[in-house]
Amino acid sequence: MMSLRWRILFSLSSRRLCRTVYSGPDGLPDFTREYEKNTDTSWEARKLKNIRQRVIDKEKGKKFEDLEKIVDDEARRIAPLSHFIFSDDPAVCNKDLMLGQRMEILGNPSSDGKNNIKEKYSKSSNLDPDFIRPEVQEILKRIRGKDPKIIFKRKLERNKEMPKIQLLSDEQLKQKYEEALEAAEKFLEMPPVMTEREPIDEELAFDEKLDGYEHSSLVFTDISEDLNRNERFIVVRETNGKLRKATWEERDRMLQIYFPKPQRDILKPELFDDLTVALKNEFHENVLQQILIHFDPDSANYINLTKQVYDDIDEKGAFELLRSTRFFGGLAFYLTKHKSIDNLLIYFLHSKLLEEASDLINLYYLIKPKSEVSQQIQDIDDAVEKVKIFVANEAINARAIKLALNPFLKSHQKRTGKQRSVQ
Amino acid sequence: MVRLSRLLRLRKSGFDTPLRVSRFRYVAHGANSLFQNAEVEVVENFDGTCHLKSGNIIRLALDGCTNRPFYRIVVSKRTDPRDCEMEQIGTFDPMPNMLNEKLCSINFERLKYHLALGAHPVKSVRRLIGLSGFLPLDPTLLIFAEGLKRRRKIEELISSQGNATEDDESSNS
Repeated sequence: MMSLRWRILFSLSSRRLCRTVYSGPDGLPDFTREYEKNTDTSWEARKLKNIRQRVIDKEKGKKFEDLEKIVDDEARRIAPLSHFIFSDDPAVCNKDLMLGQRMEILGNPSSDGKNNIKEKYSKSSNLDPDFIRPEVQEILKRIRGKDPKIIFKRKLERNKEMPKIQLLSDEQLKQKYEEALEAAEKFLEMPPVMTEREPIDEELAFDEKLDGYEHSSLVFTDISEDLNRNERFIVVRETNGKLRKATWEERDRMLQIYFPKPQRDILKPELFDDLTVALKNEFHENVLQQILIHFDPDSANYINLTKQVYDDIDEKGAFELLRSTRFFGGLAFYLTKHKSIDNLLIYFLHSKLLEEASDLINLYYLIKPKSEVSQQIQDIDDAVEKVKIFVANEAINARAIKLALNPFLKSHQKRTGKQRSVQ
Repeated sequence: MVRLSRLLRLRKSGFDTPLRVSRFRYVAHGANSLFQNAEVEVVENFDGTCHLKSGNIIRLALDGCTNRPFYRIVVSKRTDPRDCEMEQIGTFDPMPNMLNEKLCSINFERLKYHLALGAHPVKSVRRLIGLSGFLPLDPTLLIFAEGLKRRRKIEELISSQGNATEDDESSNS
């Protein structure tokens, strides 16, 4: 029997690289008379044939109907998100902890003493400079909303203690309620918005004498403890005899093999090939969680996939799906910086959230380069007038915003009319 | 006296034995004070040179199933059985994976420690360390690679001559 230690090591390199293939409609026998007639080959042999054909067809690019089912199942998966994923601290990441201990560290990011974003991420050079600004962070937290029904829908944390039963007055109940909401803010921590990381293309040595010595390339990783994930040496010796540093994809794979992050797969699920199937059924939140789990926020894959999700929400106007979740801040930031805010404004006006609308416009003028209009707007407090000025200057879909503004204009006129009459 | 002269002659002319990498870690005279570890012994050779005396060896310990080997890079004594160890330093997977890569992991901090205290790495481990770039390439590796190339050239020539003769025969017949 294999002992635990070398079972783990043995499986590190080979287990996760064996992908299970859906064998198709002939995967299981029917046990009908027709099946029993085919006695030339057993049903197991026929199943193997099906699998081999499907693998060959998949490499050529053929799409199967059954893939939709698989992708749908993957999109419905609710994955608990861990703060581990953000921290590059080797003391936190590389520990060989059992699940229970990990979950305890999960829920207390502030106990590390690092509330500042820059201290948390070792790759702080890639953070978007507009995202770091404390003014922007405050606005994004205010826009997000705090509906307790949505925040506490799922079990967020494992129970550390037995539940307590207490007798409380109404005031004390309210206090506890607010304390719970404040404690829940750690689960609404926004994932960082980063610029794309630059590709690695460095050659360390070239030995021509080793040309043809090996038929396959060798990958070396440094396993020394207490090193940052970015500082490890991962090096590839190719069949030419060329020694080069590993690319970002190879790095992610090796670090997942030797220093794994929880719930991350080495072979990425088929969800990410085609997001349209998952987004049809409005699983945006689950999809975003899985993107966070599987990819680093630096990587090109993460940025492209989140773009697709945000664009889809923008087109449909389905901002309710991400409201009072941790992903709303990223949405709003992306739209202000790279796209237009018009649809978001219309959503806020339809749902009668005027303060959030004014905050949005403040955000817009914080991020964009300064102009004469930005100074005017910061002096104004009234939301309706802010929206009017914004529509006049920089809105693309002016008509729709004016339509949404109409119900507020009448009440606004009444207020100003009354004040004038009083004067 | 005879021994001294023979050693001096061999050192100048070159040794007659086949190429052998030195097992010892040569060390300056009076280097005992540099090592804090009490287990370290400095031995004086007949020449007057000094080397570290340690029976530690870095080698590959075999694990895995039938038709599926898997090695662990391990520090142990020479007299120990193959799979026993004092410390494990890394792993090596000789079978290439889906992407035609062979995965090897080495804990370079502990490697440095053990090499400094006189552990002797075996040929296979020496080749891996050389291929990774941590230390220069092993001379045994380069000689083997050159021999491989020559053999392949000869095989290509033979096969090309064989094809040429077949073409001649077919054209003649």
